[in-house]
Amino acid sequence: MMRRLPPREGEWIDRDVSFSFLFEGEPVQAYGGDTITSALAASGRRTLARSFKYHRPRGILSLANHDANVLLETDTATNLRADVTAPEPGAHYRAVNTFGGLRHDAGRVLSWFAPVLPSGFYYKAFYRPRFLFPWWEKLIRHAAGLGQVKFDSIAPRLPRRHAFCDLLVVGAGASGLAAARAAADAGAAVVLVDEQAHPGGSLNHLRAADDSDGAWRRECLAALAGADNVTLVSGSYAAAFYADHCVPLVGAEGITLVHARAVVLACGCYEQPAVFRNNDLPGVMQAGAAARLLRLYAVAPCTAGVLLAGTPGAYAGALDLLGQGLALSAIVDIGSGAAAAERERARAAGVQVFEHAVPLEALARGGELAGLRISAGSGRLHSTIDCDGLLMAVGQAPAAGLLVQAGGRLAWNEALGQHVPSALPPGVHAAGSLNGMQAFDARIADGAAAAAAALADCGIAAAACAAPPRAAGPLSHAHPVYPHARGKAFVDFDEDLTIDDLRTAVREGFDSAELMKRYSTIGMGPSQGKHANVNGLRILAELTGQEIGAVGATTPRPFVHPVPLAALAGRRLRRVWRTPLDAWHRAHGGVMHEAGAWQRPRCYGPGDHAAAVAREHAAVREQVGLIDVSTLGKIEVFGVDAEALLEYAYPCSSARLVDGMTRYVFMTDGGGTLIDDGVCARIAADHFYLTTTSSQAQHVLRLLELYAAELALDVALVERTFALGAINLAGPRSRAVLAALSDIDLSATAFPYLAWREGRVAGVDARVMRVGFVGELGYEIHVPAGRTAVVWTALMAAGREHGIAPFGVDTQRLLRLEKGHVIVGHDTDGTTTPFEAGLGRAVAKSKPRHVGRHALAVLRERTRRTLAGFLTRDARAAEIADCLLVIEADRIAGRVTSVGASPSLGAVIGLVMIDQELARPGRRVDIRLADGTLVAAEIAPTPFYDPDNARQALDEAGAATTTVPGVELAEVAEVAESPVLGAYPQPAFSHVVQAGVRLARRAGAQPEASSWLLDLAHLPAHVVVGSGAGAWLDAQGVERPEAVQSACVQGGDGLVVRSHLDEYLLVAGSTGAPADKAVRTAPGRHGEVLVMTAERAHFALLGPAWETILAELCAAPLGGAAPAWRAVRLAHCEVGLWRVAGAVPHWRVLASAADARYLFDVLAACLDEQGGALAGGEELAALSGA
Amino acid sequence: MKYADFPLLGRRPFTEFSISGVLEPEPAELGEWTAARWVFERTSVPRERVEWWYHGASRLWFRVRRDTGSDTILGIEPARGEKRT
Amino acid sequence: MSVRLLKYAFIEDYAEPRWFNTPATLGESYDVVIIGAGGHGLACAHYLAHDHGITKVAVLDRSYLGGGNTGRNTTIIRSNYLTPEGVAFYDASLALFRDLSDALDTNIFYSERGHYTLAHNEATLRTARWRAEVNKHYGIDSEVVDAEAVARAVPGIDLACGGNHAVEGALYHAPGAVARHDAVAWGYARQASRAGVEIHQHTEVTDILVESGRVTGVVTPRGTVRAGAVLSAVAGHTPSVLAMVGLNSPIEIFPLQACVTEPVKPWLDTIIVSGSLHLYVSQSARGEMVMGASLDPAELHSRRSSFEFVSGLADGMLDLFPGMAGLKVNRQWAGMADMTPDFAPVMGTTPVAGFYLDAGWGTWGFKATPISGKTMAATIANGRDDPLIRAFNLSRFDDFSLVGEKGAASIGH
Repeated sequence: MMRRLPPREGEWIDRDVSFSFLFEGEPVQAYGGDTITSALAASGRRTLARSFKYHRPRGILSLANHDANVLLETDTATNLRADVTAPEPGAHYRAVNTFGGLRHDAGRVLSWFAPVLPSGFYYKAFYRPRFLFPWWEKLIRHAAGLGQVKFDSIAPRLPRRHAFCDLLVVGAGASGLAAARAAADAGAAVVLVDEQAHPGGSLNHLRAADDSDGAWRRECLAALAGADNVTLVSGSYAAAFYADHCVPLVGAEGITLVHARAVVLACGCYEQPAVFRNNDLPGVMQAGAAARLLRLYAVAPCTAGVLLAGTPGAYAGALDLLGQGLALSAIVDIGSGAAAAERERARAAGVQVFEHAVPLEALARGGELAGLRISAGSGRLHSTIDCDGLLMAVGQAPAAGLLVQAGGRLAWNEALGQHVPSALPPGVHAAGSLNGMQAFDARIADGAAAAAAALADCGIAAAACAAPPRAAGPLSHAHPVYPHARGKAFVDFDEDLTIDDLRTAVREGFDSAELMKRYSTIGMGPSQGKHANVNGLRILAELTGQEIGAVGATTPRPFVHPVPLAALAGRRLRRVWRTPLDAWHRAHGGVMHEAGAWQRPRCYGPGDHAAAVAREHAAVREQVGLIDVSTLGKIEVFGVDAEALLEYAYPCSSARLVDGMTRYVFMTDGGGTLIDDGVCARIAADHFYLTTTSSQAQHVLRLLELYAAELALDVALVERTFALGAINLAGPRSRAVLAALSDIDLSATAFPYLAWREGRVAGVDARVMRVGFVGELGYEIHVPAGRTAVVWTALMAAGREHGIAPFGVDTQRLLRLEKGHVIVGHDTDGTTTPFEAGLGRAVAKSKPRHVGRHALAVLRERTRRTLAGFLTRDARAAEIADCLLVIEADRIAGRVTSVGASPSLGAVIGLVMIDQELARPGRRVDIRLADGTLVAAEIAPTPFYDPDNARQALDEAGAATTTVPGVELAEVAEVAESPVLGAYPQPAFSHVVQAGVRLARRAGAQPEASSWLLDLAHLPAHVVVGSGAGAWLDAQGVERPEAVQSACVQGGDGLVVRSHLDEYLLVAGSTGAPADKAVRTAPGRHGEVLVMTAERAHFALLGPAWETILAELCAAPLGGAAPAWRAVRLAHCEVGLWRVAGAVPHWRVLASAADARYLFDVLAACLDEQGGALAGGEELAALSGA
Repeated sequence: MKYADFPLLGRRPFTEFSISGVLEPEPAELGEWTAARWVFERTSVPRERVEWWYHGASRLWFRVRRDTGSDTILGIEPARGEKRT
Repeated sequence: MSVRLLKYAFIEDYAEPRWFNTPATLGESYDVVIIGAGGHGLACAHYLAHDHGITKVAVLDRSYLGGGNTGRNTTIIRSNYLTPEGVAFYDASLALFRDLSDALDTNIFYSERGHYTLAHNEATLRTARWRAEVNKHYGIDSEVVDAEAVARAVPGIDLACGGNHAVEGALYHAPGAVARHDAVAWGYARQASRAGVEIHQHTEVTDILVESGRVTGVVTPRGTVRAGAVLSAVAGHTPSVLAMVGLNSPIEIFPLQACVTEPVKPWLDTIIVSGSLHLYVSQSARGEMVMGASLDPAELHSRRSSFEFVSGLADGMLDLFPGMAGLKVNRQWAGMADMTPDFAPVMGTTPVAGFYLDAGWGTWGFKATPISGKTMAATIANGRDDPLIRAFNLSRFDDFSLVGEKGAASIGH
């Protein structure tokens, strides 16, 4: 601890905490509160790193992260900013980008080549002869780059939270503190942020002799600490300024994304270096860095120091530091403009003063500063001053990155010698030294004035006060740039750029701020030009004979300081949709795979994939099989304009569809491209039921809502994709199995092909459709999600004697291929039209108006390719895969879209998108395998299997309603499953049954906690939909809200929400009686009551922890008095969120059944981090203090 | 992250919406427009225009007047006004 | 070490002559006026002079040279496209790129790295095979590789992607490369300047004069210039220039953002694009990780950056490369991508005689810089579309004869 000084007021180090770490293998002592650099300085070390290009020794420059001199790495982290990073006890730090360690870095040999490595050298060499370039490139790549990526130590992701406030104040220096204080007194919600470990800004290390500013700082901080409407965030930097005053504050524990109504930028300035030969030697530093060492870390910067004075304030600063223990032997005045009295006071303090001086070059011994050669006085006398510390006090530049990113502009102020704000966008105000203020009371008044103006933007009254005038005299030396014949006068320390490099760039034509930057790379290094850009502009102005103001500037972009990817990424949230049968599939050998957000079984084990598919294929063709198709999109369309909407939205006509029947429908976009297909069931003249493909369900719903709004149609759409499960029972024995469980008349006349019927299956209300997708007699059974498992297990039981087997998606794909059915999105791509997919005939020519009509009219005449079936028994047919090409006369004539070995036909069959003239049945076509060989195949008509649907015919003898002896209609299992549990009890959960619903509750004892998560899937929920819904509710005496998306409380913690014009959501309170009595009455002319109980996830979030968690998972502001209903996005899920009034903070979340398990796991994980716990639904009353 | 005050919904981040451009229902007759111009033509210059925004969580469409040069929101109204009776 | 560098050491106060001239005055008339001094505009000027001997050419830019999309893209070069027209066009560009350092006497740091388009599900794997088969048919080095091959070639990648959407394979395109984008623009500018072409920065074209269906000149704040032919090569500003000659197009402008981390020692030697996660990364010669993702969600004529872009990118990137969590993003920026409905450019002749278009470059403009310059120069010199770009003419939209690049659905990078 050679350079440590005695304790002083306001020091940041904690002398009671002492520890050591290793630097370049040698131990270093440190106190608590030290940064790595301050501890190294305390140990007397000055060479702390090597420069990027020439590997010159480098030390402290700003000690404030305004330069990237001292970048270190350990075994687990890289590019550590030592100036502002606390050392970890026992850590091994070493300088980045050295070859053989800091002291003996072999990289320094590069500085010998400096003469042949001018700015932009790599554009002028290494490209001839071309074969050598890769070798040169490898050499250059290894020389470039700073730290190394640490692949085996993964930095943890950090949470990212949203915060909303009236006023954000960036920078807690004099003006920032004053602004925050003024706003706090006016009652505004204020966030004050500062990147340093402690607030105070330059008040901490640049102090007035009488400590008047220190006293003010302490009093102000005490007042702010007492104000509950002020949030002080230290050790976090405002990294960027995005649109609408969105400012991310980056701290060690993650990012807070602040959304402020107004912002005061009190960011201060970056002290600027002087440019003279060898100004980068360790020991040459900013005067501010020396002040920080002395005041904050009690470290003596040097034993014999010289101050380079270029501003009027330099002298006062120097004398203050003398009092702090600075060994200052001389002041070299390069035109400070200071008053004579200042010089006399310095001389009186024993400091030699050289006037009218010019720094010629810094002298080195052992690679570190040993002296300074100057020319001084009117006679230009050359002299050398021995010193091991050279403090540069030559000026500053505004830290204006945020201001410009916000849309503000800067203008050069000749009097001050610095840019100042010239234009500010609404709601953004600048204050303090950034705004050209210098005197302490000017900065205080400027802060208060900026706060008043900002609060006015927020409509908050605040004591108006006039903004003080800017400083009069210069705050920066006009041109602290001193070229030397032998160069090495550094402008950008990050990029090792000298004055000569900039001169080369300008003379070779790169003579504007942007071109000079891109060619020389000034300002493109890790500190983004904070200490270099202004000197660069001064040099550019001089070289091009322009004023600095006319030269322009480069554009500051995010980030002000680099931000770790781990903080930007935030918590890892991967939304997963699970069907109601998910747990059953996993428990019965289902080989699950991702289908978009859904999880679906390909097939069921045991045995390999091909064997499983063959087994399941046989079961469906010969006996009976069942597949979970719950992922299908399901939309109910109510209203007098229901048919009009479908006629406009779909190119195929549904006009001739009669009650009780369904038809295949397909949808195109305005350009005639196929985007979806499905089934449309006509329930009544004003009620249709649609299915869509799994991947396009949300897109189709969005389009239908759009068309309804565009044409102002009287229609109500209800999405039931997640509320209903769906099971496809298919095979010759399917009717026998269904007959054993259903009261529906399954006879041929009563239930013909493509009809739909409603009734009970296994005691559950169901809507059943006869569809032929897999080419067998089949029934698609749609039932409420919470009871899908009941129906599935009942079908499995009733079908056991018929050889029933579950089948997966891969088997379904093979079965439908044998029927030649096209899968939209698989056989079709981003350009396929209905005419190319064999659907041309179904495009209604007669319809006067529908989406895509005009495009389809053109495309109908321009169709040149079509989907056709092919068949081959070639020896290598098994190698044919999707997307292999059809080659005709060495030209690409088509592409395989589906292929499979068909057990039914004993051949390889498939579909191919092919030029029309080749699509004649019997035509031979060649398919090129991946290795280039051609395999012959023959165009074959589709469907390959059962072309005339004989498999759909029902022999009348097999009467529908006979009950197969020995299998009773399975009673309804009294217990439904919470959507969180899916279909199957799970070891991770113990089960509490409440009102007939098995709820999720984590197994094992829960820790004592003040915040809880409860599964309330048992609470009754209903949707009442239709133009008569409002009237019906009035008749039931249910109070209902007026505006769409508003809600009113019903029975304690129940709720009635008007979710849409004609749709109401009723969530019965935990204390109120269940409202099941309203099942299936038809209110008024058009409407329906849909039971939603156990069809949606319903969680209670109790306790104070949730405010922090919701601020992370939801970007919407969540204020407002209970119930404050909002439909929001929470952890990527579309949910309903509201609050229940009461003593304990109490939120409710309503989400889809498919999201239930994913959302439960996310909420539980967040709660665990806050020390909360999970409870059972039955404990709601006790915990919520209702 | 940008926010705006939406009728019916209150202050919401733009990220809750899927933003479509200027949308017109397909007319029965195109008049002097050709099918190609109707399907493909765009006027993608900085200007004020009325766009259609869809709020997934509430399944509501909004008509939003936005300046595509400065990204400022100039007016928002729910798309489903009174029903055609 | 090249002779050019030795001169700096041994000749006192040496500097090379200006790479591009900036004439004090704007001429009265030129044979060709090119609007936009980006890579495409400057390449066209170069080939007009070197292939066709047309040197009375002025390249005008409203800002500094190379300041548009040329200076803002992530420098990926590849030719593994989906359609025959796309494959032929981009492969010709690749061939020119390989010799460009010599042709321009400027090291553009053309670095063949190999380009992986990762597939995280069956659908993108099928698309990869489709592109591989089309590429092989046209002699493009492109094949589908399995996940293990990706792991061998890409250190630090997590094939399991954190447990969701695992990498199942990739389309590997060995010739995939990166290059220093500024050097391409400056190299073309220098060669064009040497051939007598005038480059006028900070000279905005405010109107284009058209008389009886033929272009006659352009208007600028520095005076009106007569021109035999006018080429618009302004990418993100194309709709505004088209409005000057009364033309419409399907082009829509979306911001396309990118960012770089602090420089680190070389570890990633290939170019990684993920079709499913919509993000991509490569490592620059300076050691920065250059990263990007998909377009912004809404049309916008601005180069502002957004938090959603950089946080969304980080979220996906850490699934692919968990080891990058400790790296810090140093800077983010944006360009303005001029998108087309079929993800193919809009080039060549237009209904206005003498007015030519080089636009519709979306996210695939930089890789086309040499061949677009060459084919546009030939088109202007001969007054008719070069065969290589006939399929990209603006008129294709009139009869729905789109180029099929959109078949592959997700946008490549």
